[in-house]
Amino acid sequence: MDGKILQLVTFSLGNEEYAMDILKVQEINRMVEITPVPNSPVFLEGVINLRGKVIPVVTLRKKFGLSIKANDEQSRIMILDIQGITTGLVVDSVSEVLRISADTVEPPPPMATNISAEFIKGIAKLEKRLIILLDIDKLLGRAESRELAASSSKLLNNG
Amino acid sequence: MPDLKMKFLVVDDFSTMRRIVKNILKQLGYDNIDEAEDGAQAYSKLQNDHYDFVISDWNMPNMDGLDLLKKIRGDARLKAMPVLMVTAEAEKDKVIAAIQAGVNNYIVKPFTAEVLKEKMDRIFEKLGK
Amino acid sequence: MPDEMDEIIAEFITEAEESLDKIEPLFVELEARGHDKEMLNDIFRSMHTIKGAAGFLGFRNIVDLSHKAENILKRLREGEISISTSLMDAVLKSVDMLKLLLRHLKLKDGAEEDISPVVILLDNALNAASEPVHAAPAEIIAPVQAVVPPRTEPRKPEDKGKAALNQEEEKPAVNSLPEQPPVPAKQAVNLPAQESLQTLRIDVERVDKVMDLTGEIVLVRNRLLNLANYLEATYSDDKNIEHLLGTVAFLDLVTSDMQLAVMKMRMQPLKKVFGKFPRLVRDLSNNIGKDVELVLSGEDTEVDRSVIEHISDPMVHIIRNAIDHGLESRDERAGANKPVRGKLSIRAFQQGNTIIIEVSDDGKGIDLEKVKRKAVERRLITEEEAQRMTDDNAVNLIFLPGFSTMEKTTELSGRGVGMDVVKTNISKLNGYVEVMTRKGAGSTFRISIPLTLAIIQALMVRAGNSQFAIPLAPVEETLKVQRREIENITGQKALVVRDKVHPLFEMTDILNLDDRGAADSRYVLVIAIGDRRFCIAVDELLGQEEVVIKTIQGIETDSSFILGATVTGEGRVVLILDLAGISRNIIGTLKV
Repeated sequence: MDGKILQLVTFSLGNEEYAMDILKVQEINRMVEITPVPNSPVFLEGVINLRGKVIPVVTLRKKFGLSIKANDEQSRIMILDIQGITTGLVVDSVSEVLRISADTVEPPPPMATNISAEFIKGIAKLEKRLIILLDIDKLLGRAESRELAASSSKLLNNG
Repeated sequence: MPDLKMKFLVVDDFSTMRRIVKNILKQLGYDNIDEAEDGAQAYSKLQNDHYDFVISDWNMPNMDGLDLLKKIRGDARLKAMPVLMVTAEAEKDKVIAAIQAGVNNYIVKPFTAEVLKEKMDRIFEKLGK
Repeated sequence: MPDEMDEIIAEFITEAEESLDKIEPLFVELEARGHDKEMLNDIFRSMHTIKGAAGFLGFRNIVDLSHKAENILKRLREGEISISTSLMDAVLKSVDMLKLLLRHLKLKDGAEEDISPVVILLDNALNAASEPVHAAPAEIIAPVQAVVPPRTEPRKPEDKGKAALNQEEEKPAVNSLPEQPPVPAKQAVNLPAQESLQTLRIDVERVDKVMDLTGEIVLVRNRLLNLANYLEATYSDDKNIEHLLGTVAFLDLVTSDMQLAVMKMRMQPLKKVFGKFPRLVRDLSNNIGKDVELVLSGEDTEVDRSVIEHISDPMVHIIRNAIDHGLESRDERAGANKPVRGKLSIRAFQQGNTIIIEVSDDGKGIDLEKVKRKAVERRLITEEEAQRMTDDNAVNLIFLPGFSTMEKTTELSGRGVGMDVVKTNISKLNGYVEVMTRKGAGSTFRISIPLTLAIIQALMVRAGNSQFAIPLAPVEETLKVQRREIENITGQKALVVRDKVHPLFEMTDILNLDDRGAADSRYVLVIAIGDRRFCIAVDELLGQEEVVIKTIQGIETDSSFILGATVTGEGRVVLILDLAGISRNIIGTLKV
């Protein structure tokens, strides 16, 4: 009986609803001009100016390999703290801040969605909704930067 | 890089000040230094001899630093001459006048060799590019 | 130098006394004649000059006193206050006191004078003289002050008075001890090498914060300069424009000074890094039984602390390499008629706005044929390319990722870091490394790093639909050419600049940008990195700007040829290109 209350920010991509720990989210902004970075992985949308700081922005759709959708009025950039690095995440829309009991969260079923289960913390079942809880650190954290580094194809070193 | 052989004209009505400035220039490795007591003398020296750099005080009898600067900038042969103006702390409004008259930079008394070098480097840098 | 100082001080005393003697009678005449601007100017100037010279020599009392007197004289000259007996009395008292102070200096009697009564007298006299102005109804006086912005004087006397009183409380005892020349004088006249005793330990974060803020001010300044230029063009007949331009130009100079000052707060001597080399060289050479003499110079050269942090590893690598591969064994050296003891010199110096660090050995030099062979083996270049390659290009092959000249990896150099990593680390500091080598005579690795890391001059360009900033330092020149002037030599674009063929690359190709400019005229930047020259073609040159480099955290920028980013006055992000990275990478593909 775990009666812990989880505070989540929910957002959507297409028809699916996702959520992440509210503590990860520093702010939620409307779309701003994104400067693309040449020779970078596709999911890296580019960089933005966040009050004088230049931070990378990842498009979640591209990250998940979903079809690309033009940004619109609903599109948001969530500013996240990923292991100390401020990172922007573009999502279709941000819905609400949700408080749910940890009891309602179930472990991810193996074939639940089109994203790899390792990025999913669990599935929250509410009355008529299924919300996918993302493990954002795993999704965008260190492993990610390793992937970015590998893409540089420059790390060929012979001892 | 600035040539250590370049010729300076140090303009100040107070000989101690000229000596101090000369001393600092020598510390920076410059040895070719001439002096003038005021703007008028400086201007006539500038016309009769070749100089590479002018360091001038502001307040002087006969012709002050600003007038000297204007003369230099108005003289076809001298107009590109680098001029560093020496001012006192409380004269920032004068600095603006000097900038408008085309001074290359200014330096506030008292200054160290290091600061003088910085200012000169800045001037050379701007002239170089 | 002490003799020189004594002489200067003696000269100052004589000259200052003369000046005071000269102005004294003028006061009396002035009192009789009333306002005489010329005469007031003469007196003011003398006082001002004494203050200025005393400042250099560190005579605080003289500076404070002459400053007070000067201030009164200036306001008299401008007609802001009028001559009164009490005012003249006070100024004359200050002249007396100055003379007394000069006499003590001359006699070297070490006697001190309490200048505070005279200071108070001057302040009171000035306040009294300013009184009528202050007493006037506020409604009238306020708008007048508002209309004439530069004249902030009326408020000053009180402030200065307070400052003087404060000084009185902590009255320093050093003022005019003649035996030992005053401390500030030394600072003012001697070279900066002398360390100041007054130091303050500050958290690096705080300094960085100031650095960031300075960066922001630089951006605002740039924006203001643009605006002012725009306004000048549009409203050239408004005379406020001239003031605006002057003020902005002043801000420009002050901002540059501030940048430099802040930057200096972060500077540390290279000693911090060099200090560990003697031990390192000793251990390394002992390990492999080579006899190595290490000569260090320029350890006092100051660099930004981030250089201190990041230069160590690349240097250690170069040193290892020199000892391991560069220097020969004792027997080999003896056989080649060289002193058996190998020499490794590390020197640092500043050249203009660049810090240069050189690691030289007098070893056997780099075998370029071997380097080329290795590069072919590793399939970094083709056989054909190897044959056509110049020595200059060949030596740079060692910096290619995946290259290692070592036949067998020894414990020393075989740690999984190659020269490419050295190069990458140095280019992160916005610098570059060159190698000069001569067979049998040795090699020199020369590292060049800009003095300022956070702020650089950049050229703004447009390629396709994107804007980029290009560090100006390596840009030798910019040209406008027609497309047909660009030649095509076996698939490699090239441009002849002053009879020399330079390989040319389209920026859009380097960066894999989709959108291509179709315009017929191209703008070409001739880039020189070390001894290598190449051209980059862009669609448009947008101008030169001073930009603040911001690192982008969370992105591996090596592969994207991005050094960092900067934020424009409008708030947009513009990426700064890593020319050294580009240069390094395209050399392998070079066919010219």
